[in-house]
Amino acid sequence: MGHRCGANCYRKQGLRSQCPSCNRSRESRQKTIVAGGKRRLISLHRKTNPHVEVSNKDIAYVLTNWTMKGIYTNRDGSESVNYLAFVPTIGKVVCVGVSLDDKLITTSFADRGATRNLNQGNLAYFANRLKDLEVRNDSTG
Amino acid sequence: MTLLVNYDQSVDILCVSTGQRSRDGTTLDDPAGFNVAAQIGTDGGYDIVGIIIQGAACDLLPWFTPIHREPPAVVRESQLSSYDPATDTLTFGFATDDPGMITQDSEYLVGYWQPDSEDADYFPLIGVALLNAAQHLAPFFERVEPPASG
Repeated sequence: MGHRCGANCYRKQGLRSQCPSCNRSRESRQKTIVAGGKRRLISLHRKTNPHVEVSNKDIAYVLTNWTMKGIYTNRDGSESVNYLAFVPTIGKVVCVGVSLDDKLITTSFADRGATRNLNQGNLAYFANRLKDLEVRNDSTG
Repeated sequence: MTLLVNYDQSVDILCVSTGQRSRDGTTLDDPAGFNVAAQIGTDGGYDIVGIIIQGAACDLLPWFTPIHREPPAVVRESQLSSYDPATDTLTFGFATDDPGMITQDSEYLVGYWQPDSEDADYFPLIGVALLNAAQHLAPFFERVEPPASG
C-alpha cells in the first residue's frame, strides 16, 4: 500500500524518519468524523496538519461530551460554533470549531488557558470569548 | 529551517508550523484569543512549534499591500496583530519589552509569556511573533483572495 500521509508529510519530502504522523496515516485519510449521531466533514486545514496534539478521536469525544459551546466571531464577522470539553486522554481542554451549518469541522486545538479556567470554574473566561455560551453540567452526551 | 505554511481558504485558517509534532497548545490571553492558537512542542512547555490563525485574511492582508504583497512602509496597529516592516516581524497579541518570559525555540517563532497576577507559576501566552514574516507568508499571499475593493 502506498504512503498516504498528509500533503506536507516529511516522508513525502524524502525525510521519512522525521515524520511522526506516518503512524497516523489512516487518520489523515479520514474525511469525516461521526460524533453524537452526526457526521461532519473535516476541513482541509485539519487534514493537512496532522502533526497536532488533537486526534480525530479526541474531536469526536469533544463533539459528543462537550461541556461548553458558544459562537465565536472572527475578525471579519464570520462565525463558527466552538465546542469545548476536557479530554481525559490528553489531560486538557480541547476546542473544536464547527461551521454554523454544523457540517464542517474547521479546526481544533488544545488550550492550556481554557483548561486552567475550566478547572477554576471561571466561566467569564469563556463568556468573554464566545457568545450564546451554553454550559452542560452533565457532559455524557 | 523553513516553516510549513498551510492556508485553507474555505475556512480562512492559516497554519504556520516548524513541522515538529505538537503535544500541547494554548491560545492568546485575550478576549479575542481563540483567533490565534499556539502549538507547543512539549507537554506543559513553552516551545512554540506552530501557530493557527483563524480569520487569517482579515488579520493579515491589511499589513501587506494587495497588489505587490509587500510590507507597507509604515507600522500600523490593530486590535490583535501588528507588523513592524523594519524587522519584518508580525506579532499577534502583545510583544512587550518586559514580559515575564520570552521563548524562541524555533528560528522564526517567538513567544511572549506573562506571569499570572494570582499565580506566579502560571504563564499565559500574551503574544507570539513570526520573524521574516513576508518571506514565510508568501505561499499564503499566493493563495488568498485579495480583499474586495471599495
